[in-house]
Amino acid sequence: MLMHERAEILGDRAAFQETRILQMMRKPLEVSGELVYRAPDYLRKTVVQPEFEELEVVGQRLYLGDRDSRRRLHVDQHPVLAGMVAAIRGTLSGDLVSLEDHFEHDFNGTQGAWRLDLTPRSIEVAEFIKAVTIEGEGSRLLRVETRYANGDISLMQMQSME
Amino acid sequence: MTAVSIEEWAGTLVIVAMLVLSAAFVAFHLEIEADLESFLPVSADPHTDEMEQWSPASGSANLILIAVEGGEGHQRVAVSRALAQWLRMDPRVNRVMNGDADNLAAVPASLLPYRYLLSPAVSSQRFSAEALEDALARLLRRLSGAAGLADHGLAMWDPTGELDIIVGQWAGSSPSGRDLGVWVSNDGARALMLLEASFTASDLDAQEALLDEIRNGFGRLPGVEGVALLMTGQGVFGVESRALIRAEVLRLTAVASLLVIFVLAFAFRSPRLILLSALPLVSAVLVATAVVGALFGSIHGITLAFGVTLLGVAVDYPIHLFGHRRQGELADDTMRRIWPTLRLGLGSSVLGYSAMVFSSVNGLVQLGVFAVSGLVAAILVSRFVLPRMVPIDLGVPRRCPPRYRFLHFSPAWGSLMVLACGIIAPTYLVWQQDSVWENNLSALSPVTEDEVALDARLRADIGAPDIRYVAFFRHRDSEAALRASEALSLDLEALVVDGVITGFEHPADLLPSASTQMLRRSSLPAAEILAADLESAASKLGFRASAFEPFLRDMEVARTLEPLRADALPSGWPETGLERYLTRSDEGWTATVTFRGVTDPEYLMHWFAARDDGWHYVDLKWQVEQTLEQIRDEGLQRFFVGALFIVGMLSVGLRSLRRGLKVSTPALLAALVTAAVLVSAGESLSLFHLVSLLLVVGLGLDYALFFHSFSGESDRSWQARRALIICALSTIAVFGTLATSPLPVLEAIGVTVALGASLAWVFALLMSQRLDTGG
Repeated sequence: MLMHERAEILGDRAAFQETRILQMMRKPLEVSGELVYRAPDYLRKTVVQPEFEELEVVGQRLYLGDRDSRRRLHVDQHPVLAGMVAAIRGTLSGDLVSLEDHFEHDFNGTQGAWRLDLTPRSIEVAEFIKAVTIEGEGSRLLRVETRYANGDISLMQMQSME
Repeated sequence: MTAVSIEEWAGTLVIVAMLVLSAAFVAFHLEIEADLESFLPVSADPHTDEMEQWSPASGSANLILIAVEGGEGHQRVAVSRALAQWLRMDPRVNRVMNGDADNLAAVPASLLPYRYLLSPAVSSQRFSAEALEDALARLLRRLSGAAGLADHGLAMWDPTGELDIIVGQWAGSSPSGRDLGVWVSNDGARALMLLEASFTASDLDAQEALLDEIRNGFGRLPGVEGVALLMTGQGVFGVESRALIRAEVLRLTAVASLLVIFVLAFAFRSPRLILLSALPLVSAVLVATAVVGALFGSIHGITLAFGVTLLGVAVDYPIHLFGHRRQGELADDTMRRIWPTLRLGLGSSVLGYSAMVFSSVNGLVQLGVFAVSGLVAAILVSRFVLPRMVPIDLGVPRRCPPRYRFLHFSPAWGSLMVLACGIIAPTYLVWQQDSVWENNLSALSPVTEDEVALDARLRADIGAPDIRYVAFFRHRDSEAALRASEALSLDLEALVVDGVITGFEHPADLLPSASTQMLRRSSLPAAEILAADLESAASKLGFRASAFEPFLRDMEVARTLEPLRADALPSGWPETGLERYLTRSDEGWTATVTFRGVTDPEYLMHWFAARDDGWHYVDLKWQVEQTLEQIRDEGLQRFFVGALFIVGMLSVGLRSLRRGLKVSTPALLAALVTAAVLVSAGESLSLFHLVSLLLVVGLGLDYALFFHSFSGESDRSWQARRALIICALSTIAVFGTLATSPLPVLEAIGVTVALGASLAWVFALLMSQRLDTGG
């Protein structure tokens, strides 16, 4: 299994550009910001445009906040979020156990250029997410594409800053 | 030597038949009650039922506060989830709240359209063009935020978020801290859970079974290594207290029995006599229980416990019988010799205790009947059954008893001491008046300080209402009760602002009155206006107007909905907790309001008193303490009336008021001095002390009568004194053992009786010497 052979990374910081195509919107939403990962289990997604908001994941805890306040999220009310966190963090850390908890996965390509296809295992997550595709080079993520059950799509491109 | 007459044998037969009947009644018919209500006075308060329901002693509000402590944070959360999930399947559990279920799944689908009638946010402004634009702008911010597309499923259907508001209200008071959705304390050290059981807190057997089940189930959960389970609540206290009292009583009974057996063995040297000594007491308890059960339909647990204490004097009867026997004397002859004295002692005790029978406090009446019937049974058994079972010469001591020179004060000294005590004790008690009585109920509770502290901590963590303060409103119509609760809540908001309370819960928060629902319904915009406003807001912000069709459809349904009414709801509507705040009885409906963080109870009380709008405010703790105070005051009154009866009876029996006073003085004085000594030692007196003092009086009367009737330096007098020493020693052994108990109630009874009996004995001796010379 190639995923095992990927070099473990201690951390990464990347700028992201995300296009969200929603059924309820007439035009796609453009969102950009920064994504930070620190081994083994810290993940932060900071949206800068259109408005500052930060999602921080430390171990099992989720925090969401803007510049003024921050609140801890009830993860069971956000199974989708929990699933997304597991997908990205699992891929970065190579933590197969946590990834396999949430998704069936299919790894293709080489160390240099790879592609990981994820399908949710739990009914709870599958109710919202149809599939996640992650593409990368070596230990870096380049692109995350999420297809939602209601037809919404999110395309996220990343560019490493480290 | 006189032969036993036919009449006496007939008496024996009658009494044995009475015992057999009593035993049969107790075995097959007896019902023991445990609720405080039947022990308390019949109250004129029309809200007794509701108070009963909310009172900690019983009531449907059987909440168990649970905390998971130790281990890692995620471990506690996982354990809390698993435990809650498992407990929710238990039929004995109404609901389990730990945060992980206050989500939209809790709302029954049939009620979903009602959100526009139930949400307090609904008004004519709620769906205006601006408000809709605001709501959609918020939605847009969420969709383009860091959490992204995680959850917008409900937005098309409930863009203004009414359901969130309703579910938040159903969750009621809940801790602010959350870890992965599960309730945690503010410092994050404990995961918290609130369980509402389906049975009352006073059903201790059911409670114990459930608590055991929870502990066992917790132990079997995965990942509980290093994690501890903490539980508290009235029901938990009840079970723990009962277990503690049972273990204590078992231990104390064993120790006390051994000590008494030792005393009796030393005195009589006969196992048979030791066994027979217990016969009058056992018969007394049996008959008294049967009589109370037959007269009142059931017997209260408290009556039984206090009653057995009062009957302690019955152990003295066989001791007198055995102690007064001479060589070669038939026990029947001994009994005839001491019978007049025994009879007079019993007569005065019975008269004294019967003062309680004419009380308005049900518990005191039961106790009086119990004591009187038990004592009569004990003396009848001692007179007609016991002597027949003692073989001639068995256990008759051969040696003369000591003459206790060490107790031979000169009569002058004796009377001086008695006089001094008689002046000092009552004066001291009157002087100390205010600090004499124990008014804090918890001081007598067997619950330890640690448990009380844990309860306070968890209650604060969870933000559970302090069920000490409640207000009731009763009306035959549920709508009127809900309207009253809405009116009150508006005014209570001002008290929250003023800091008198930090919050409150009321039924109309969960189910608004029909008129409020109608008002909200009529404030909903017309279909065309709403569609147009929504369309313009949507196009302004880039949404497709068609996306919100589910919202428009539900609005359409809501416009013609009939309001939800309490009587049409599924019983109690358990998802919401409404059944605790709006209850139905034969007379109608009662709305209940509870308060959180009451900082100024007195202000709150006056505030309600000034309203005069049908709301009835109760401080439950104060109420219970008032009731106990009433019982105590009445008990005290009866005590003095009983004392008068006793003096009168003795004066008639001894054919002299002076002799009557002299024989009753040691007993009554002993009670007074005991009370004074206890108070001066820092004890506050409670009902338990009062009942113990009654026993002291009964014992003291016996001592004084026997000292009086068998005074002098004859053999008769030595035998009497020996018997009296054995009586006192066995009493002190039993109650001295109780005095060592860590349980406040048992300790109070033990100390009072042991001290009182010793004092009564000494006073009786002193007074008898005075009679020897002076009388």
